[in-house]
Amino acid sequence: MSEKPGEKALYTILERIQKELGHIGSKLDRIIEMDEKILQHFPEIKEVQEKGAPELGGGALDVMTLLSLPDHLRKTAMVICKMNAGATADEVAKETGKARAVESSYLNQLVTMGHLKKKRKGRKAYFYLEK
Amino acid sequence: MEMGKVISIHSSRGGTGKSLIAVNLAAIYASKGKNISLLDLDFRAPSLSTVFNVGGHKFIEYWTNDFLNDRCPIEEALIDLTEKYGTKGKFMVGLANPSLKAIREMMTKDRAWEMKALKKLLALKPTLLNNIKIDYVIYDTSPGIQYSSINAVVSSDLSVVISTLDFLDVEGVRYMLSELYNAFEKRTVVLINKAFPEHFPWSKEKQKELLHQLKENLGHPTIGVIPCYCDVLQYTRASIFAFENPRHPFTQALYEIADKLESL
Repeated sequence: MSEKPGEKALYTILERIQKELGHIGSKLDRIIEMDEKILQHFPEIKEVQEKGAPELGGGALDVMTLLSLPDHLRKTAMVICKMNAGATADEVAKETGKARAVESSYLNQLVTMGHLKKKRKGRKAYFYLEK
Repeated sequence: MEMGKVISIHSSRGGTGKSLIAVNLAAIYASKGKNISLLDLDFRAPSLSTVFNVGGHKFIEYWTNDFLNDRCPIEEALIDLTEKYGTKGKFMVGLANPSLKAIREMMTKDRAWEMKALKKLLALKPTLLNNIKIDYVIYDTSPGIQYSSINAVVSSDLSVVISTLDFLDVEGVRYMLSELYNAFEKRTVVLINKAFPEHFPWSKEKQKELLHQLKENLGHPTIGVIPCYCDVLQYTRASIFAFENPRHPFTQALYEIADKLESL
């Protein structure tokens, strides 16, 4: 059975889509795998994801809560406490001397834990304490 | 231009002489020409209102409680005592409200309020240092680990922890430093008060050994060891000891401490 030229082009496109979807699928698997590995190092986040925020875990970032945080998150959270208008990961990194990507990860963990809020202004993400 | 400092005076237990030292250090700085703001942040047991019995409190409109409760800006909670004591520098004092109603109000605050209080204290330094040209802000805190004192310690640049040589005091300080101060990477010095009787034979070697032991045990330097003076303990607290007894060894020891704190 002979194929019409239009059909052949369509098959080619579908094959390419299938191939690309395969790539995306394997990349997603890698991301999930990496996420699992990262969560192994931060059991507190895993707990929040599985059970929801504990009664005293999320919300207000008072001194007692700051004390209960691991050292690296406490340092990041303190910078946000000092900045009234909130801060970007870049600004926090300048204060702590760590890399922007590291601070971005810590700030997002604090958001997941319910201690910080995040909002976007254009391309920048601001992290702040809930008023 | 050199920025001023916020110094918190803290202790693990009551009765170490924390408030006496906070008041007299502030007085010494003001008499040396530094602009001082002394704030009472001990809301459970306010004591500075007794020391600075300003017109029987009739004229006090706002207290440090009111500042933290958003009822007034910090400027309105400060009483200017420069003229009263004739100091070269400004001597501004913020008193904690000693009324039972105010103490009860401060004891029932929730976590969200304590977070706001910490933010207000963190933002206080630029206000006091830039707007009122204060050189040193001194916080008199409540003893031990509780919200008001940790907020004060966390928002200060330098913390002075007062302790006696009583085993319970030293152990309390050791625990507080390792669990609280180190977690916030606070610059901290220890000051030993009421160490031993005034005329106790105390050789230079023994003093050096004590300082070494304290450093080993506490992990932070001790900036001074003040003996126990009976006349200081018996002195009426409704006045400033250093102003009325400028040549007393207790006052002289505090002048040395004040110099050391300035250089830190």
